[in-house]
Amino acid sequence: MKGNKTGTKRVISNIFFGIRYTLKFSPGFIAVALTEGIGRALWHIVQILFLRYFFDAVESGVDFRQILFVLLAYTAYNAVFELFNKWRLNVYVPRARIKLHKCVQSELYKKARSLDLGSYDDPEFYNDFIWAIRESDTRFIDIMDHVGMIVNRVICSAVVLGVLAVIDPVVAAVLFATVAAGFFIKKKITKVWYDCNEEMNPVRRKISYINRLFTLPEYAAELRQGGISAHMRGQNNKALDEYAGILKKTRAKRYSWGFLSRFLMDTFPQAGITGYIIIRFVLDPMFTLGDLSAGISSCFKLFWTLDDISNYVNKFNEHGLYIEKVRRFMETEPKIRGEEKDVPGFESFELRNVSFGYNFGGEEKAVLSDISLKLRRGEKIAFVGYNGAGKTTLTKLIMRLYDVENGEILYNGRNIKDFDPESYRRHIGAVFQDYRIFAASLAENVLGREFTPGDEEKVLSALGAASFEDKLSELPEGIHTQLTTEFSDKGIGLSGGEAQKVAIARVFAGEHELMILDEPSSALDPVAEFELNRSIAENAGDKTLIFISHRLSTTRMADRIYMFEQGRIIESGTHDELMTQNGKYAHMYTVQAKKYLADQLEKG
Amino acid sequence: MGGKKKLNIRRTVKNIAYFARLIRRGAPGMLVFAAAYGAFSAFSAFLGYTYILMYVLNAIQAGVNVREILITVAVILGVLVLSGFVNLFWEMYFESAIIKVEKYINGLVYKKAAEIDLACYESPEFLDTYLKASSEGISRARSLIMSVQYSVYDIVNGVSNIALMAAIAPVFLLLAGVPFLCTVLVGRKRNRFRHDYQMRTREVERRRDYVRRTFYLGDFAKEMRLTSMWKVMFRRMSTAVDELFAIQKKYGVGLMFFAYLYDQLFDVIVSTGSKLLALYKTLIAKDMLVGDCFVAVNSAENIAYGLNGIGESLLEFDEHSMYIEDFRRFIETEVKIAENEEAPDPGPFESLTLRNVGYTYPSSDKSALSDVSFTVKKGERIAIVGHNGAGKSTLVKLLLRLYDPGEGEILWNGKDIKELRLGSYRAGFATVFQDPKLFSVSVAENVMQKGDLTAEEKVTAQKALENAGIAGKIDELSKGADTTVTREFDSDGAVFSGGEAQKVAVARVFASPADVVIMDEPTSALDPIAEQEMYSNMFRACEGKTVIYISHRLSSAVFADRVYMFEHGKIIEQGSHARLLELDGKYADMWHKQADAYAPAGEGGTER
Repeated sequence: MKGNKTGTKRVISNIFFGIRYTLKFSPGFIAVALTEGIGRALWHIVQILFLRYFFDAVESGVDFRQILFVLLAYTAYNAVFELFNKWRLNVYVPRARIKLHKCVQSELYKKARSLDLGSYDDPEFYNDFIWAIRESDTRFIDIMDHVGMIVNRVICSAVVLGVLAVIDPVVAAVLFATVAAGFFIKKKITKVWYDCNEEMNPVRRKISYINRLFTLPEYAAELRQGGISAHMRGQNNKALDEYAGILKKTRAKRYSWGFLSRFLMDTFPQAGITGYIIIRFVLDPMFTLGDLSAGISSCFKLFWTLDDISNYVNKFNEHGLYIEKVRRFMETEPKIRGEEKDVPGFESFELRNVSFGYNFGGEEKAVLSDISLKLRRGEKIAFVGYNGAGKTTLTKLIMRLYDVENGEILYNGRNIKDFDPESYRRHIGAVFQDYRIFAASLAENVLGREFTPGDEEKVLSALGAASFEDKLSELPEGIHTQLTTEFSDKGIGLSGGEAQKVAIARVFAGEHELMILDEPSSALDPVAEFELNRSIAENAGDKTLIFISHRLSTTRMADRIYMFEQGRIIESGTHDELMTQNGKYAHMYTVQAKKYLADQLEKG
Repeated sequence: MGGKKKLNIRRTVKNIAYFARLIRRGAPGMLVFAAAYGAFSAFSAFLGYTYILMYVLNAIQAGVNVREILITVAVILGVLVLSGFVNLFWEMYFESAIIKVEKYINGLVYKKAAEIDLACYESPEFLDTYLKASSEGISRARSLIMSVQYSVYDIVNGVSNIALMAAIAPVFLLLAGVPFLCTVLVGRKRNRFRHDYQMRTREVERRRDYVRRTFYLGDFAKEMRLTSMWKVMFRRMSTAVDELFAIQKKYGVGLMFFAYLYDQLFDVIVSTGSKLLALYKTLIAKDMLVGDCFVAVNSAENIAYGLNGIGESLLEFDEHSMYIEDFRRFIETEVKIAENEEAPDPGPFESLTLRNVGYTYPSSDKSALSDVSFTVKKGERIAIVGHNGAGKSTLVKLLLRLYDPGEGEILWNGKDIKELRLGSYRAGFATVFQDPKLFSVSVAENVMQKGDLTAEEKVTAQKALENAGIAGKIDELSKGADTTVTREFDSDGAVFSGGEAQKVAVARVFASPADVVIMDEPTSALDPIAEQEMYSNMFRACEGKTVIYISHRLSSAVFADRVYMFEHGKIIEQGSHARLLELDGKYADMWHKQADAYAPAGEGGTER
């Protein structure tokens, strides 16, 4: 897909990797594919030889019974071979495909989960990665199938060429030369089309983006405002015009090569060679009816098979490229690693001069600089500050979704890089702003794992703590209700606020020693927010808590508040300390509080 | 789609004719051209592959002179060569004509999509069937044109071969007709079997593919790493695979049977049968010449394929028809809230009155709003507050006439809004929705909500962005306000965070000349300072305008001339902020829950 070149050696090595990989999971496959390939090649040969025999025999009046016998044997061979082939296509391959899919995906999924979150920020890697996963089930099977095809086409064309050489060596030589020339022309055409597609793809993407806009419900309300729908329709026409323009511009080039290939690969053999054979038949009395029939049908077959070989060779280039991506993906080792699986219970946490930036295509964008802070068990701290000040990024660092290069993060006094990330993360629960609800039962969503009998109480109390009871009482199947309508029409779609509560319940159910709540009430109404805050206060108990919020009333009770601005901590202390300090926090707090307070004061 | 519906020739013809008209409007003559091309290529194939052999054999037997034979052969082969060029020309024509069809069909669909009642979107049937069908219009047009071309090819090729065969040995036609008969008799049964299999696997595959998405999409990446949800998903995948296996076990052999049956019909009955028959007629009955034997054997298979092709295309047209029906239902959906060109313009805003307005979503039996009455006058600021799900957002949609109320009426300057021109009525409002969506066009175009901006409009957009507090970010972009939103089409495109996108959406309101401004939670993603600035800018920029806003941050309700408190679809309290506090009802309770937390320590009424 991409323009990057891979050497032939690497392509072959990749193909073998693909074959070995398939064989690992489905050992019988290659045998079946080869049997088919050889069986079919034989069948083509038998067909040609039979036709020649048949018409010659009829012409020269051979004994009826002998012809009948050959005819029946010929039919029987086909009947048996086709039975095998239909079994292969309708029973064997679909089942192998299902099995292979499971095995390949299982490996890819495990790998995908172990990838660093940072990999998702690299668009090139991400695109390749999606491609690798999305096509994994069809590609590997295709490779096996195509190996079988090439085998049969090669055998077939070799033999047909032999037969043809006997009937008419000139034709055989001309045909072979034509196909060889055709092969190069095909390559050229592929290139021309590839360039043309390169130019057209962005336009095509735009056209389908507009199609999505108009046919997705999310945009329906916006499209009814102002002139935007007319504007997007105009954009569609513009994109289509542009598309037509590219076609027009490249037409001469595409079709002049197309014409050459059409002539060489289609018209010439069809008209020229058929004509030549017919003329021989007309002029040469030694050229029998059988020769005519076998000659014409072997010409077509030869063309068809040789043409196919060049197609499959091209396909293998693509397969090779694909496997290359899969291999690269499988060989990517997560950078976020650690040996120690035995992570002790949470005691303290410390950040020492941590700086961090996201890496977008080689260009680093600084997000946090020189952050130092300490947190002990049972403490409740808050991060507050402006949009885009780096608060959320900091929680990701604490969760070790990214590793820091500058500075260090210590857990119980030890660098978190020493620990196995999975074991480490088990000690921390987090609700992010962009939480996701899975198409699974409510209980599974809360537990973040499979439901086992005995979990009811845990789920119910977590949902209670997240003030989800009201909605729960409406659900037909209680905690076993399926969320999202992805799989079942009876599934429940939650509103933003409800989904947020489920995400919060997930943290409570996890019984983590350290909890991170990133704007847990952004979608809630004031009453629900009030209840949530009360509930967090009651349930957090002696747990350690990191809280991020724009609603400063909810963070003022924190043991310490850290005020962020442009990736730095500019102020820290308790609410009262910061208010006395009369800095930016005090300003922010006052701005938010004054309307509420004005009223209180009035009343008081 | 369907598949179980009965074959209905009349309906099929009507649907195909309908779609053919659409194609014709996009590219007149394209279907005729497709048919002509199909006919010509069939005819030249017949001449070049079948007739030529018969002619040569017969001519030799009849002792025609060699020169004449060769000339005829050359002419026929010339037609074959010509057909190769016609094919090339057809491809050239097709690729540009289909774009015109796409333009026409997409234009039709998009126009309709933007005017269909929003209420339709509440129906799952509409979303899953009709809306989906509308998005696939062009690919269906493509396949319909192909079907026309192929079926004409099959008919012409079939008919020519049949005529030829009828002339030399009609009895072969019986053999060649068997597969066709079989397609007619069991074709639908086979298709239904295949369709059932596909439907059942598709349903399971959808589940399996969902799992795949959860593993590769960035959206799920955090949860997949932080919880054991991946195990749940993994098990889902395993279950789906087991189910697929079970389905394949149930259907596999049946599918194999059908495939084998068809194959052997051709190979045994047509291919071997015709050879057997030819053998008998030539060698034993001796009523057939060797040349005819040759032609009959070749032609029998051609006829069988041709006839079978015709049978298959009938089934294909049937499938097209089912799809087209869904497409047509979409295009012909009656728009209840439609533009009426003759209706009067609403005129400059004076007042908006709701009288006993109620609304119930079609999919629900509980009313979302009931008996809502209030009046908003020019220049007023109205705050709408209440719990999640109390009907506030539904109210916004009713005001914009995205839905029409089930009960009661809404009056603009005392006139029922149903009697006003829809376009001008909606243009009277500038709205920020709860979850604003930006489009992948320039920032300025997003703000102005239109294309081809004049220099003046660009200035307006720039000023609006400043008022929305996002100008700083916009100036940093590669092309300022002309930068495209999202990186989808432009590697230098602008990527906005939730808060920033909200600010751009608010800028739309500042740029709009509309008299009434509606904002649904415009500051939910903003930090306190940004929120404060947003409100003060809004009230400054919207001086003299009427503002209706929804907010969970009640501090903003203090500025309102009137606050309406909603609960379960009804207005339960109304009045100014101060009056509602005095009333000491639910609003006051809500207010205190939020406000007391700000009270200096030791003072506030945390005892509440």
